[in-house]
This record gives sequence, C-alpha cells and structure tokens, in this order.
Amino acid sequence: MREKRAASKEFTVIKKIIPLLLIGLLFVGLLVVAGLAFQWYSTARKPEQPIAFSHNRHIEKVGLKCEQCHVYADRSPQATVPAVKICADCHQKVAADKPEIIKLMDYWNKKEPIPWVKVHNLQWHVYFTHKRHIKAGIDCAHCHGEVKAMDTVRQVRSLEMGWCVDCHREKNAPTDCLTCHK
Amino acid sequence: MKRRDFFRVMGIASGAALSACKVNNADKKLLPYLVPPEEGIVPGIPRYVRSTCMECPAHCGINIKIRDDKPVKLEGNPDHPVNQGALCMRGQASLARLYHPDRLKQPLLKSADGTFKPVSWDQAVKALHAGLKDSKSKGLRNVFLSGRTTGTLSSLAAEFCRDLEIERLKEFEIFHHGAIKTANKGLFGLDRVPYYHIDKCDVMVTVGADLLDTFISPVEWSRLYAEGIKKTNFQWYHVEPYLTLTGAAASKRAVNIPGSEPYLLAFLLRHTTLQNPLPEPLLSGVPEYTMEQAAALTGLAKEDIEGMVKALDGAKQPLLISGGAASNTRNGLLTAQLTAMLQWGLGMVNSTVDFSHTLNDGTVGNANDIGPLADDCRDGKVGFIMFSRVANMDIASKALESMTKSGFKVAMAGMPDKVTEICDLVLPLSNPLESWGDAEPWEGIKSVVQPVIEPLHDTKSEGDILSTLLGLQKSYRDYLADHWEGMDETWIDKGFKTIETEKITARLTEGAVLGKPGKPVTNGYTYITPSLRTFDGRSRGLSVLEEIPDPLTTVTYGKWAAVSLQAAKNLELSPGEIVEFQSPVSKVKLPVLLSPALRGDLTTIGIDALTDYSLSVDGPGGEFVFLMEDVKLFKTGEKIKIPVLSGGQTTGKRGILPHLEHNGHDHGPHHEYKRYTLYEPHDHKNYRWGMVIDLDACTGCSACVAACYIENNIPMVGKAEHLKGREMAWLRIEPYFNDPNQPEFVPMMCQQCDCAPCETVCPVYATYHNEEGLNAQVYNRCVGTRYCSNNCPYKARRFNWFDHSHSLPLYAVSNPDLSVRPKGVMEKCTFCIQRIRYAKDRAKDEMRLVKDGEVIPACAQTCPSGAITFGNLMDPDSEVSKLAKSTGAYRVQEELGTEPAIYYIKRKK
Repeated sequence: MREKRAASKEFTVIKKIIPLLLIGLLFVGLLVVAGLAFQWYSTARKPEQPIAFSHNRHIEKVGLKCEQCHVYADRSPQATVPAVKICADCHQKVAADKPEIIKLMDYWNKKEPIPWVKVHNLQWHVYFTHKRHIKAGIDCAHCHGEVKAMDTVRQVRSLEMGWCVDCHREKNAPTDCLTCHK
Repeated sequence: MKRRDFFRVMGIASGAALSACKVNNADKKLLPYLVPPEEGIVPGIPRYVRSTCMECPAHCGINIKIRDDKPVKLEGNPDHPVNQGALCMRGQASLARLYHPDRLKQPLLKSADGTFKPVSWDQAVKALHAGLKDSKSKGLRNVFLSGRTTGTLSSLAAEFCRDLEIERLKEFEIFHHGAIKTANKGLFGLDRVPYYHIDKCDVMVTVGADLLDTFISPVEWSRLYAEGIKKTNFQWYHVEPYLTLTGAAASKRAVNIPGSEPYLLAFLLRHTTLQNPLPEPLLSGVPEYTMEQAAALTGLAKEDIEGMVKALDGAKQPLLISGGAASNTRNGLLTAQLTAMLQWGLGMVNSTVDFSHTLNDGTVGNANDIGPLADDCRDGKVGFIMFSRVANMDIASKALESMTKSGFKVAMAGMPDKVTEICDLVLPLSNPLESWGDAEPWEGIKSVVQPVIEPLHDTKSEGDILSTLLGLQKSYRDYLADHWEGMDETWIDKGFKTIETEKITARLTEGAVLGKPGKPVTNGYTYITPSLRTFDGRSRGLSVLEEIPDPLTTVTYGKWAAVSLQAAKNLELSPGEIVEFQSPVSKVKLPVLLSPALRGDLTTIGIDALTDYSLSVDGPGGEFVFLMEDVKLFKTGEKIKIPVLSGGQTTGKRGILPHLEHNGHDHGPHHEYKRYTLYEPHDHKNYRWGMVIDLDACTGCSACVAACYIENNIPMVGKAEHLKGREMAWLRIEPYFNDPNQPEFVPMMCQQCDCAPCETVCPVYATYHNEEGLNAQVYNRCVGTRYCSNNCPYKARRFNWFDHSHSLPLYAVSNPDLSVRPKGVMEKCTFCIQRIRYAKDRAKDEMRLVKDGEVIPACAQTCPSGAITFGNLMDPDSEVSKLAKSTGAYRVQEELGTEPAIYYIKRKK
C-alpha cells in the first residue's frame, strides 16, 4: 500500500505542502505575538503620562512616603492619586521653571484634573480593596514593585487571578469567589 | 489522509490562530481631585446626606447615598416621622429623574413661528417681566398657579405674588381631598384632612380609600398597617368598587356598586350604636334603609354589612376612613359628610381621627377653581399665567385648551409636558437633589431638602427663580437661612424637625348641612383609577416604573384599560383589543385586559393612561369625577400585545402558599420534608445568610423591586423583550388569585438554596455554594448555557440576552460596588453581596463578626411595612432565626427538597 500512495501528486500536496504552510503560519503567529508582547511590555505596562512625574525623584530626593500622597490607601478600597492641589502646593515655588512643572501648574490654573493614565487595571468584575491589604501588613512594593526606583511607573506584577490566589492561599486570606468577584 | 495526520494539522492550525489573540485593556484614565475633599469624606466609601423626596406630596424623608460625589441610591431616612426608613417604588425611581435625558436643560422662549428657542436666564427674566408689564398695562388678570407647595417656598411664593401684584391661585392637585375637607369644614369647622392613627385602632373600615396605594401617605399607612396587624384582634373591612392593593391586604374585602358608598354609610349611621349623639336636624337628613335595601343598593352581601355593624359596635378604638374611589364620584361630598358624622358618632374624632396633626395642604384648592380660570382665559380676561409644577393638568385638557389663547404664559417645570407645550416661556427647574429647600407634609413636620450635586444643566431651583424675579439680592439658600433662624443647625443633619402643634379638639358645629345624594349609578360606567406606579400620572417619565410590573395585573409597558368579564362578553372582547371609550366629554382609545376582579360591566382606566382628557367636576365637593357614567365602548378592530409577565394566576398544587386551613389544629410549624440530595449538607463558616418574608405584612407595593433595580444596576429590557417573557427583575412580586376576590402576593427572588438545582448543572462551575450559604454567580466565568435557569424551580435566574446599553446620562445611576453584566451572562439576586461585603469589612476593622441588623439588603431596607428581615441563620439570637422558627413559617416549594434560605411567614388568610 505504501508504494501506491507515494506516487500520486495529491499526496505530495496534502502530506507535505499544507503542513509546511501551517507551520509557516504558526511561525508568523509566534512572531506577531512576540512583537505584540514586546510592545506591551515596553509601553502598555508602562504607559506615557501627561506629565513626566518621577516617583524616583520624589521618594529618593524629596523623601516622600507612599501614604503621604496616596492618602486613602489604608481607609478605602481605592488608594487614589493625590489631588492636584497637593502637587500645586509645593510646586507653586519649587522648580517652577521646569517644563513639566509648567505643565502641572497649567492644569492647576485651568482647574483641570490631570488625566493620568491608569497603570494598574483590574477587570470589570474584580473588587479589590487597598484598605484590607494595607491593614494586613502588605508592603506597597510587594504588588507595585520598586516604585521608588521608577521614573515612569510600570506594572511589574501580572495582577492575574492566579497570582492573587497564590498569595491568598499562603496567607490564609479568603479564597471564596465572592470575596473578589463583584 | 489518516485521522492522526488530520488531528495533527488541525492542532497546529488552531494553535497558530489562537496565539495571535491578545487581551486588550484600553487606556483608562485615573482622574484625581482638584482639591482634597473635606475631612470625613473618603473616596470609595459612601456617605449619606438627608433630604426629602419630592416625587409625591407625601414628602417622605430620604437618605441619599453618595459615591464619588454622585448620588447613587435613595433610601428612606430612618428617623423621619413620615416613613421611618422606608421608601416607595416611585421614591426609589425618582433618582433617575436627576439624569433623565428629557429634562429641560435651559430656559426656552417661544419664537413667532411657535418653536422654542434656548435663551439665557437674563433674557428669560426680561421676557417674563415684559409679559407681566404688558398684561398689567392692559388691565388683565395676572395669575400664579402651582402644584402643592409647602414650607418656606410657600412663603416666598406668597411674597412673590404680593410684590409683583400677581393673584396667587389655590394650588392644583388632582388628589386634593376636597370632599373630605369640605365635609370636615361643615361638620367641625376644620377645613383639613386629619391624621389617621391606623396603628392604634382595633377595627378599621375603609370605604374607597386606597391607603396602601396612593391615598395621602401610603408609605406611612403601610407601616401603621403592619403595626396594626400584629394585634390579634385587628379587623379591617375594606369596601371598594375595583381591585387595589388596599383591598388585597384587608381582612375582608367587599366590592360595592360604584357610587353607592352613601347608602352603606347611611345604613351604618342608622344601625350602629352611636356613643356621641348627633343633633336631630342633622340625623334627620340621613335616609333610612332596611338591610335588604342596603344590600341591593350597595351590591354588598348582607353578612358583610352585618359584620361591619357588629365590628364597629364592638370596637374599643374604631376607625372609619373614606376617600379615593369614594370621593371622586358625584356623591363624593355626601360620602365624606356621612363619614365625618360616623366618625363623630362612634367616638373616633380626637382619638383615632386626629385634628391636631393635619395634612398641610391649606393652600391647595379643588377642581372647582379651574373652571372659572378657564372661562376667563377663553374670554380673554387673563393676560399672564405662571405655572409651576402642574404637570398633571393633562386631565383638565379642556381647561388647558382655553388657556392656550390667553396672554403670556410661563411654566416652571423639570420635564416637558402638556403645560410647557402651550407656554411662551419655559423655565427649567433643578431637581430636588440639586436644590435647597424644605417641605412640610403634615403640620408639625419640617423636612429639609439638600442638594448633593451641582445642577447638571442650566437650571435653577424654584426658590432661586422666584427670588431672582423678585429682585431679592440673595440666593434662595440665604432666604431659607433667614427663615430657619433660631433653629438648631443639627436639624439639617437629621433631615427634619418636629414642631409642636396646637392640640385641636374638634367639636360638632351647629348648622352642618347634609348634601343630597346624586342619582344612583346603574351601568355603563368607567372608573379612572389612581396609579400605583405613577401616582396621579406625574411619575410617568421614569422608565424603571414602567419596567416594574403593576402588582395586581403584572402588566409592564403600555397603557391599558381593564374591563370586567361581563363587559368583555357584551362586546366579545379579547385581551389586547383596542377599544374606544367615549364619554360625553372625551374619548380615548386603549387596549383592554380582562379582569375577573371587576363586577358588573365596570371598566377601569388608570389615570396615567390619559393624556388628553377632560373630567367633569363634582360641584359641592370640588372633586374630579373619576366615576364616569354613560361611557360607550366601541371596538376599533385593532389589536396589540400587552406585556403581562405573570405565568399563572393560581398556585394550584405547588407549595407556594401554605394551606392555612390546617393551621386550626396544632400541626407544628410546618411539614418536615425529606432532603432530596446525594450531596452532604454544607458547612457554614460564621454566617449562614437567610431571609424571612412576612406575607401578612407584604402589601405587594413593589418598593423592594424598585430598590433592587437601582441597587444592583439591573438593566431595563423594554417592551419587546417583555413580550417574549424575558423579564430582568431579580425580585418580582407574584400575585396569586387563589381567592379571586383578594390576591396574595409572594415576593420571589433567588432562594439561595442549600441543595440548589442550578449549581450542579453549570458546565463551567460559574455558580457554586459559598461558605456563607449564598448561591454565588461568577459573572465572568458564565458562558451562557442557561442550564441553571432551566433547572431553577423558582425561575429566579435572569439572562442578559443583549448588552442593554448602559450609556450616559442614565448610566450615572450605576452602583459602583458591583459590575454591570455583559451579554451572555446569567445574573440573579445575590442577597446584596456588596452590602454584606461592606459590613464584613467594617466589622473586620473592629475585629469582630457582623452584628445582627448590620446588613440590610436593598429590598429589606425600603419595605414600607417591614415585611423583609435579613440576617445570620447561624446566630440563634438573630431576628431571622427567631422568625424562621415562628408559627406560620414555611419555605416555598419545600417538597422539591431544595432547602431554600428564605422563609416565608403566613398566619392569616
């Protein structure tokens, strides 16, 4: 039987060329994925912000702590970003000539909230509460990474459910679905 | 090729295709505050501000829940004397009015071609003053006509009219209780509606007064009714010509011939033992009837009339109330007068009928006031009319028509309606949630109105408009501050202030004259009925009220008329057929529904089904005559489908309502049904959430349904989907007509079954039983096989067949604590898991467990009669545990072995 099949032309097409085409498609697919992943890693997880605020400078040089600006982290599900006034209070005078500060004061003078781009996004069905995690003694850096070393904030953890559940299991935190699925 | 090769190729191909997919999380913005919020305001944590609901004249106190500077839910103010924490369906829905897309957004001035052009407030004020000046120069009448106004606004309106020399007409309300007031004025010298101490009486007879539907203050009466039925000897006879929730709740409901109330009351006057004698000249005007005559004239059974006589005679604290359907007839005033006489005679006045605490509607006129105004308009004698909040003038359309031609007309309104249509200038009113003010529903209660959001559009509150027009150099807020001087500021935080009222002892006056009875109505009549969902038609624009079914008929969208089986037979009508109702003064075309609850050939039309109609007025009492005679019905040959959500009218053999005939013997609390499952019972950790619904207290008002809609972001699916039977309400009120005379209501939602049939059939494990006894639904995991809904014996699960658009502006009403479910996802009652989560979070802060009463789901929170109780069944001291073990407690369809977590209580028939 093998001899009979090896001879026909259709056989060559089906058995050899189509698989080659498909493997070629797979390779292209992998390239596309790799490209997208590279782009995502470099930009989406580290989006460009309207003002080039540097955490590094403010934490290392100025000596600010997380909770001084992100005031509601231990009181509310939302940690929030600081009100524009908090930035403006210092920067009325401090470094007032720098271009980014001018951008900041522009927003303040126009009474417009700064449209920061959200870096850490959770899915629509997720309920996450900062308050409970801070009160459980988890350090900000554990989930947000070494923010004090970052110029532009980027997401370092996957923030996927598996990652959350792993820690919950370790620390005996509730793993009931309704804890986080809203 | 060989099978193996085929699979190999397919595997590679699909792998290649799938690897190219990626999850897209579009750039979301994170907006900070400009200025940090005040101390005590934490973003993400709700805060509450007290105000007053202005959706109807009852003016219940509300507690507005604010999240991220937007009101997201209204709840009753727990301390407010009127509602004590409850809020009716219309009050719950009134939040949507704030974001309604049809709201008037800026002042409009009618140009020469008849269209409205937007103008600035300055231009509007100028136009108004010009119109007024013009009218004055011509020596014509200038009038101000508003809906019921109380509190400081009333003082400002008086000042406005006085200073600008405008006649302040009596206020226009459809339900103005003119008959009751005129009767009380004649008999006691008090032109007021008294307070009825329903909770203090042991025998109550109500004639026509739909206490639990729309009569004066239904939320308040519902609460008092729930208090009343706790007494074992509470008896309530309700006499009405058509079916209402009030009739369904009463101990005994009797259906009378429309307009025959005076005959019943005359019989009662003559045959009950009067404690306070009535003067002979007054009593002589009351006709004498024998039992046979009374039964024939009223259409009531002899046992019912006898029962009423006996009950009233034997009562220690009797109470008789007439109103509603009994007032709005040609015999309306006579009915009210006979009622007042009976109230006096049986010693109710100054005890259960209290004139020390009367309805604050002294400025409200009656229907007699519209006629003269309309006549003057027709004759061109009126040069300037200013309307304010008279949206429900639709039923006086002939009067409106004659006003079309007269002078300069200004309307202050929130949404466009028939009145704004005919006006030259329209001034948009801010929503009560955007305004400062106060309201005084009853004498002695001052309720604050506080804004919680900046006006969304270029609108002003009525107070601000009047003070601008007056030229007062201050805002209405300052005007209020002047009027509130001397009051301790804490009253604003509490939401209300009670003021001592003068103790008034009513006495029978000399020279009280009895009216003459109008000719008895025999047939060919149609009753215009008040609407539970829209009051007098004013709440028509709120779509959630149309989405929620009318509890008596389960009809949702559209207007309809109810015809009795007799009337249907006469014309061979089938449901949905469009019939033209022609009265001597008006006509309307409506589809019909057959109603077994109507006797004779009575037909009823809800007041909100009329938009271009004229009603006649009963002169002496000043009431609109809702009972229309000589109405002819004509078939039009057209037919439409009316969305009726109810599947069946009776419970049959299903264990939905218990068989109370067994309750005479000591059967124990309920049957012990075998647990039909192969699965082990669940272990519960700390909590097992459960609910108890008292069916004796439940009136079917559907406030819980509205609260659930707003709290849980339930989408509105619309008429087309309802026609397919695809309702979306997580909680529904099921009316069962096992007794065709009185329906029983069963609020039905997900029973959170311990042996849930839905949990075992989900192919992706999107629904499971959590450790606190809840049947959890994980939205993002659901793939939409709908097997769970298929298996649910209570049919409590709802499927999102479409992505019902949640777009602005109404999307702003969303509760941020829970998600909006996308297409293809199953949803259902969660026992307000977001509230449970919030309470557990707070309890964890204090290192303790949640206390009983800390978690109140939206439905339980708003129920006017307190029928729903929620709590932890594992805690033996909790309210639910105790109630679940009480007599009359049972679970729906227990015979199926689902082990629901919701217990129902039914003790009385």
